[in-house]
Amino acid sequence: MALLELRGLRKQFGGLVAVNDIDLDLEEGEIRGLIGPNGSGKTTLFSLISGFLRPTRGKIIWRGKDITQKPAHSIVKEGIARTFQLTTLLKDMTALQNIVIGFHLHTGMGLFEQVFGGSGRRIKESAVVKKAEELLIAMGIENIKDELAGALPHGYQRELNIAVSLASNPALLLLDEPTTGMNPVETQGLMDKIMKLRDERGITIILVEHDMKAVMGTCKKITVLDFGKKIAEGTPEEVSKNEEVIEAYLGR
Amino acid sequence: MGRNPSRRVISLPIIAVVLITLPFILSRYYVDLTIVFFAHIILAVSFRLITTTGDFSLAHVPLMGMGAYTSAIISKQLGWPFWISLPLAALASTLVGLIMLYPLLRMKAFAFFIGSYAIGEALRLSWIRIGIFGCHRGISGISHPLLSIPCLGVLDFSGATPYYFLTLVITGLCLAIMYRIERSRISDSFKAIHSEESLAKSVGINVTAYRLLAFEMGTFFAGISGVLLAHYFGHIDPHQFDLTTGLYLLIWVVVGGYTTFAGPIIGVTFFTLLGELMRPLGAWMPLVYGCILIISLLFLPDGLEGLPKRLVPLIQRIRIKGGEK
Amino acid sequence: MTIHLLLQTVVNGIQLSSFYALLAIGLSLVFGVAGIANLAHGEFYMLGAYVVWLFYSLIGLNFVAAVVLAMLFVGGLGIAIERTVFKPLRGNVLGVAIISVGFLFIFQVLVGQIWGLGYPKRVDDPIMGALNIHGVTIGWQRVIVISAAVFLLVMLWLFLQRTNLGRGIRASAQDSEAAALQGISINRSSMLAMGIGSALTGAAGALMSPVSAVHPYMGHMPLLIALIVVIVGGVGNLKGTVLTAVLFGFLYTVITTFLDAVVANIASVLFMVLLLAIKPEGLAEHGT
Repeated sequence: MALLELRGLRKQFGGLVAVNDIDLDLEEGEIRGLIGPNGSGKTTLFSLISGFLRPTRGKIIWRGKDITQKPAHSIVKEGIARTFQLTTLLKDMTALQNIVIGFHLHTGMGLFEQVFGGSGRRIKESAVVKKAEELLIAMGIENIKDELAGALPHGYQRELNIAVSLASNPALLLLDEPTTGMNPVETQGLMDKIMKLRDERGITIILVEHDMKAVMGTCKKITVLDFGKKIAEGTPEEVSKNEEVIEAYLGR
Repeated sequence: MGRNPSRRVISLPIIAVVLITLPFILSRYYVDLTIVFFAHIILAVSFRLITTTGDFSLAHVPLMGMGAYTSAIISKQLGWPFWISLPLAALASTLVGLIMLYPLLRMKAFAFFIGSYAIGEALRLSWIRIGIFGCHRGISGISHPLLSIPCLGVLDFSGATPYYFLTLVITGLCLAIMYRIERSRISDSFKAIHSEESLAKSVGINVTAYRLLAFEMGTFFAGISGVLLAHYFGHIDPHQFDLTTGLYLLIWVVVGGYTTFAGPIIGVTFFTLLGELMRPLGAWMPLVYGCILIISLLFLPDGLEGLPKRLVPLIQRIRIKGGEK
Repeated sequence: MTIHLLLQTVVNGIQLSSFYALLAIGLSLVFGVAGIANLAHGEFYMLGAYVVWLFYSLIGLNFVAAVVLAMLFVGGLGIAIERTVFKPLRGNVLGVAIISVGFLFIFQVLVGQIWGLGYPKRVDDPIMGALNIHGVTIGWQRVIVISAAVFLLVMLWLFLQRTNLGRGIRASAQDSEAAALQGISINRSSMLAMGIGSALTGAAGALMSPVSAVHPYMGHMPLLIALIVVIVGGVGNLKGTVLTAVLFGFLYTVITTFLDAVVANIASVLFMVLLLAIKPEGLAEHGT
């Protein structure tokens, strides 16, 4: 049984079909690349899987369970986390504070304790801060711990975004163009970090990327979308030789 | 967040002493005013609590009225004491608020603002239409609290001074609880929803549930505020809880500032003092309020609470200039 | 239920609908084009009525001239406020709404203090009496309101559809960036929309002044009605606004005739809540 199964997934906005009957099987431990020209439906697909959008038709099956109708916050509980194309951070809070928010589901405290708890609460809060600091170190960005998220350079913001999504302890991580705005050196550095995270934490990853080198180098299997439809799926070699794929990219 | 802790420790006892001696120094009129001031503080801080998720609710004042009406009816029709009608009324407000939320939660920002006005007005109109609420006349003769303490006799809170202390204690308790909420993780979640909803969702925050939580918590305290006023003045009517009152509340909080816990307190204090200073102006007051609101939103978008932040660089610049001379 | 009652109800409905349409169209235009939710809308209506009272009842100017003056005054006032206060907050719908509350109070107090809070002012009907057809009556003033409302709405439609200026405003409403690229500035469109919208609102107040009680707080209900009609009809959707005004005018008339005004008010606000709950983005959309 695959970790994640998409069956006939479709999303329509009025007359516009953004995601068109997509079937996909994702195995545990994969780093799957998801590529396609602009507007091919990659981000919409992410939004569907992560519960930010409801599909018009189709099913999303996670670990054998139908999660199609679940809202975003429930999907996070199921173990699927995502990042966004545009940096989404609490700009007036420090990097550390942003990650602390990321631990929302894992503070070990109920609502009452969060407000009225005494020393027990303090201990749990400190534990969360410690875990947040550890995440920063794991991502290699502990130097920006106390910087305001809004003031960080772009590359750090992207990495912080990933760190925040890791805080929810996901089994599946959907990365939406994490290397936007990065130069080749930074891109390679981030790809290495992502691979390391996968190895250390056993996270499955779907990676949306424009940077072909990054995707080809990191992913063993790639799915290609165009106009919301899956047009190819296979190893980087297979996909790069696929005529439809070449046409899709050249045609734009 | 980074206020000097020793400064706070020093000022608290001073404030406490002042507050305790006030009713003995001030005239009856000013004690009345202070009681109303306290009730308004609860109202404003609880309103601001709801705004931390980004919801500006014009149903807050009608829900305050729901608390007032419920307590009035319970004490008049059932004859139950204040100590029972107070919590019951607050719960009634919360329940009515919950029903109101059902359509409201589908709305955000401006739509929520207008929708909350509409549904709050529907509630208010139902007081006018349904007999038990006394229609246009409202309810009068609401009893003052009595407390029977064994061996000590009966404490009568009908006087200004005893009621002042009752209100003071209740306000203190309400503020303490709301302050705890403010400093808690729950409040961080509220603020995350307001500033970056996608992020909030993506870390597992149930936006709808949290908006509901903020609204219900705020409504509970609004209900308490209404009960306090009802049992002091003994009379309530639908016009006390109309749009104008709701807009005044909005002005206090917007001008005072709503990004900090102290903001609404500053706002209520400012406008209460202003109201007294400008008493001779009488009917011109709403106009002054309106002007202050406009000026504040144009030139002081953080509200009065942001004033120190803006003044500090200004003062520093003046000092430097003075030093150069 | 007699035929007579039915016909009278229909006539009352027409009359109320035309008033609602004229009242709401200004708000819809301003909200749709400039993204401005002017909560002092009721006060613009009130000021229109007061201008007529001043110039027609007190000074003795011709009624039509007084109405025109009201339109010019309120239109000009709208532009002045838009230029100074609303423009800096452009894009922040809730912010503009909150700041307009300031003007709500300012105008209410100014008018009340200058001309008194006592009894409402009386504005005499320019044409006394009523039209009576088989026992179904309609006051001449109300005939004037219906005619003027239809006239002004048609004028507005022609302006928006047939003139360059009008088409520019509609373009700005649909897509302000694209319109800007074509040389249609959002600044000018907003200002125009605000001027025209406010003038129409002033006209509504001016025309209704002989019918309603003229006092500083007379704008409260009109604001609520305008909001309901605009929200239900779709912000900036002028056809929708007119249609909703008709629907609503009849609904309100029927409920008031067979039940009472308070119930009608409750039904109105609940209807608005229902619509907002079903289509909350209705308030966020622009476009005429």
